[in-house]
Amino acid sequence: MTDPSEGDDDRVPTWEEVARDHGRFLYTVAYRLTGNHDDAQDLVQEVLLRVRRGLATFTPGSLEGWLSRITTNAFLDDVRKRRRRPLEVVPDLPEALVGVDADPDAALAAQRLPDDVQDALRALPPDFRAALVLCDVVGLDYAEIADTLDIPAGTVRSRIHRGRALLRKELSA
Amino acid sequence: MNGESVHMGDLLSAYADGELTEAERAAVDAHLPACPACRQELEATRRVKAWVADLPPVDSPFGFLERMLLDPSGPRRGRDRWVIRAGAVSLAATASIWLGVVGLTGLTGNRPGGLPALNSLVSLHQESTPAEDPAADQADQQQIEQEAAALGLPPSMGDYHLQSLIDAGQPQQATYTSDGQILSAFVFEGYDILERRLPAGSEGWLLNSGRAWIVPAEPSPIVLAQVGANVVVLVGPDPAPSMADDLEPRRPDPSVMDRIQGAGEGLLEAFGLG
Repeated sequence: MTDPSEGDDDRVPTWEEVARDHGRFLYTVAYRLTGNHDDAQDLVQEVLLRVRRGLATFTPGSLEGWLSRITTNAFLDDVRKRRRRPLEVVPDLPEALVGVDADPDAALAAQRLPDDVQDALRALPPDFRAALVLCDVVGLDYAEIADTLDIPAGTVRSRIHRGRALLRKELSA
Repeated sequence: MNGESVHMGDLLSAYADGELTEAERAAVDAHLPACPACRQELEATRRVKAWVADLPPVDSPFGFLERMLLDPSGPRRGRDRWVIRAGAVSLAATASIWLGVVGLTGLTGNRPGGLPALNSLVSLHQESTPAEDPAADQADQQQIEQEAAALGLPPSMGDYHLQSLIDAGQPQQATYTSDGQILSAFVFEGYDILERRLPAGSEGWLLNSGRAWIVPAEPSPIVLAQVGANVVVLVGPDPAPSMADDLEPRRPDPSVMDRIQGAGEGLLEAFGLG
């Protein structure tokens, strides 16, 4: 979406600047993670509260990277609270990811509507979804994603690949 | 990496993302020419990546971020509480929003030339003949003002005073008059203006906890205001139509929504109804 390092300066932003200047970015990430406006609004509100409390400890750098970390963690915290069970659920996947499509060229050649892609994202396990959103929506690299989610780099790699395979399966159906 | 049953698996996403080490990349590069399945999967991986990366930015519902700026610690779970909250904002802030809207329309000073108009709303507005005796009965006037207040409309806008309320379903119409001029306010209850869907060239104004836009339209712009959970469209002021034979306000055509739709100008779209 945007280069997370873009437009950063060495100054700690004010709370109003975060809400006003980065509100759209924040809302987009929240919507891609939650998949609906009600939950996205709840999430953004939670994030803004955390931001306001945490601005004092903000280290000048990638503001949007910092916001993404808070957003993703708030999202996963909420998912954990709601589910009250561990997130490490490995979804059913074909052993070999190859050869899923009968006619892969035809199945994949078509463009996908944003709503369809969003629905497919929402069907992913939250941990996979978080990794994909950080990678492809926010534009973080794997090391930043590993740092944000506090998981090993190998896990990032696997979640992103398996997440994409699930999306592909969902959208090819 | 040797043997036909070994495919590149997780490495392929990392390959597409440019996240492999030199050695891993070399291994994939060596494997791909001989493995149609992995080539196919790499291509599919790139497609899926593009689908997600190309998703457009998402706008929050109208007024959400403004509410957050005002009070981020307000109620946050459940639609009901948001509805209550929107109502509270509406009641608390209506007066100041309208002060701002009045400023936008220039109603406090000289009448600006050709303020707002929008085809069918304009024609409805032009058909609205105020009652002959504006003083009317004081009790009636009080009731009108109470009903208008429930819609988020003030008893007066600058020099313009509430004249009548025409209850014909959505949208409700109120007329304001001053010295032979008439201004109509159309109230759409329970709508949010979607800023991104407003016609190009719309100019937005932050009015405390509300917002208003001047929307370009022919022959002259209209004003849209978000007042709590309602959208108000201001048309006029224009010279009031002659009293003619009518002593009562004319009721708008029941198919008013159709007429508004016919008016185009992106108005329905602006309300997210398109």
